[in-house]
Amino acid sequence: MTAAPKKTIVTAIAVLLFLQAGFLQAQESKPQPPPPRAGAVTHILGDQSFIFGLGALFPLFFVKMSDGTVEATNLSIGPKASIEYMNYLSQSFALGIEVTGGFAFSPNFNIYWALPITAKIIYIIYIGSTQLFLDLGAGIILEKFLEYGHLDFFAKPQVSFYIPIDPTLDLGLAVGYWFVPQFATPDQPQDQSRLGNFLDISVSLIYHL
Amino acid sequence: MKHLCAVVLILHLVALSFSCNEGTNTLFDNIIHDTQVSDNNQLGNTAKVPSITKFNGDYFAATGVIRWRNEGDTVWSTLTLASGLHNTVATDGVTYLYAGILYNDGTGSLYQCSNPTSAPSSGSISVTDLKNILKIRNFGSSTPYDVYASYGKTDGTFSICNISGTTATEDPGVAGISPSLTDSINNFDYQGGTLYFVSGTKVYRGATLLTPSTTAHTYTGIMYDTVDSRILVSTNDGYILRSTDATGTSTPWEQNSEQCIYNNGSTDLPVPFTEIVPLDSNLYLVGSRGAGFWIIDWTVADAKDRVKRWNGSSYSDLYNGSIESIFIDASAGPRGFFCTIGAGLWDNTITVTLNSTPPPTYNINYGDPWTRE
Repeated sequence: MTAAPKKTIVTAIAVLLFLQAGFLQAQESKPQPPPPRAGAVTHILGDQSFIFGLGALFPLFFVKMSDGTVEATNLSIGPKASIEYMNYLSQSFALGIEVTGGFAFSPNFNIYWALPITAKIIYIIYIGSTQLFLDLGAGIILEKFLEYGHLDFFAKPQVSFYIPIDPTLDLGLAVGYWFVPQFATPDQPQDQSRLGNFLDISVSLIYHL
Repeated sequence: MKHLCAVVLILHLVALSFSCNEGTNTLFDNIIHDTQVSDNNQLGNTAKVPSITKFNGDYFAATGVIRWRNEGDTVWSTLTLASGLHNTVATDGVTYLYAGILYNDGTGSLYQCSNPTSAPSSGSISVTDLKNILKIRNFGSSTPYDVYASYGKTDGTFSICNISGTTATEDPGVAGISPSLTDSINNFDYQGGTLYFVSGTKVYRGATLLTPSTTAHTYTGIMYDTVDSRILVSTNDGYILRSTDATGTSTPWEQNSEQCIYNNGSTDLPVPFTEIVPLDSNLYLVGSRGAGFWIIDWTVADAKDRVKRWNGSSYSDLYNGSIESIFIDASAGPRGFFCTIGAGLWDNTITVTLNSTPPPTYNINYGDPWTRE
C-alpha cells in the first residue's frame, strides 16, 4: 500500500510532522527496509492510517506519592472513545497522535472527565496475516471533576492485536494502561500528590488511507 | 490551512471547557472523598429544618412540625404541639421540650411539651407582649440547660426571654436597653451567666453595647468561646470578628483580613454568614446562606487564611446550602447536625484535620459518609 498525499491532514498535525522530520532525514541515509514477507501487507515510509477505538475505561487505583498508600479511585467503569492518526516510518515502526475522551462516575453521580492527547511510537510485529501493535505514548491529560479542572502529564503503554478485514481495514482489540501523575500545586497540600492508574480496553478499527 | 484552523479552534474550545480551576485540594483528592451520602429519606431533601436539639437520647428537629428520632435509630416520628408552623425547638434537658409556633398572620406562640416521645403533654407558655418567637436555644452541658428565646414584640421591637419550666421571663438586661431594639435579634448565646446577642448592626454583652468594628456590619451570629474567653461574631458580608479580651470592650476586634467570597453560579458575592458554634480551642464552624459551612481557625497566623470554606463541593446541596443553624452533639462522636433551609438535615461525625501548611486547608469528616435525614 502506498501513501496517498493528504496534505491537509498532515498540516493539521504539524507537531507530529515536526517530530517526524528528524526520522525522515535519518531514514534517507539508512538502508532500505527488508522485503515484505509473503502474504503480509507492506507499509512504507509515509503510509497513513486512522485508528478508531470504542471501549471502556477502568479506574483502577490511586497511589499516594508521599507514602505509597494505594487507594480506591471511588469511580465507576465508564465509556471511552478515541481517534488516532498514524504515520508509518517503516514496515515495523510508526508514529501516532491520539485523542481520547472518557468519563466515569463517582458514587454521588458526579462525573470525572478525562481527555488525554498522546503522541505515540508504535512497534508492529507481524504474526502471519495478523499484527501486534506495541505502543508507548506520552502527552497531556485534561481532566474535570465538579467545577475543578486540571492538566496532568500522561503516559500510556498499549498492546493491540489486529486481524485484517480487507486491504484498507483491520479490526482489533486494544488494551492500554494510563499512568496519570497528579502533583499538587503550590496552593494545595503536598501530600495530596497521587499517581492515577487506569486501564482502557477497546475495540479498534484501523482504516488505511 | 482551513482544517488547521478548525483543529486549533476545537482544541482551544476543549481546553477552555477544561479550564483549570484547581480548587484547594487536588482533583484526585476530591474524587476519593466523594463518598456516597446515606440518604434516610425521612425528612425530605428539600426540607426546611431551622433548628434541632437533643433531649434524653432523642433528636428533635423543627421542620414545620416536630420530627424526632432516637440517637441510634434512623426513622423519624412526628410530634405536633398545636396547629401552625413549628419553626424552632430547644429543651431544658430534664422535663420539657420547647417549640416556637408561627401562624399565618405572622403571630406566634411559645409551647412546652413534657414526655414528648411517650405521652406528650403540651401547653402554651405566656410571654408578655409576644408577637412571635424567632429562635429558642438551650445552652450548657449539664442539665437543666439554660433556655432562652428571642422574640418579636407587639410594639415592633425585639427582646429575649429566659424560659424555666413553664414560665418565660423577659431578660432584664435586654428589657433595660433604651431605646428598645428595633432590629431583629439574629442570634444569641448564653454562657457563664451572661447573655450575648446581635441585633442588626449592634452587638451586646448583656445590656452593654460593644463595638467590634469601626466599619458597619449587619451581625448574624454570635458566640462566647468559653475555652479561649473570647466573643465571636459573624456578619452577613463575609467577616468573622473575635474580641481581643473576654469582655469585648477593647476595640476594634480581630477579624479575617480578607472578606470571604463565594460564587453563586454567576457572581462573586460576600458570604452571608449565619450561626457560629465552637468545635475546639480556637476552632469554630460557621454556617452561611448559600455557601454551606466554613471552618474558622484562629491559630492561623495569616489573618486572611483564618476562615476557609469546607472542602465538600461533592455534596453540592450542602456545600451550596443555606445553613441556618449547626448543632454539635458532643456525646455522639462529636456529631454535627447541619440545619438547612430547603436542603434537609445533614449530619456526620465531625473530625477536622488541618492539612500541611502553607496555606492551611481543612478536611472534615473524611472517610465517613454523610447522612441526609
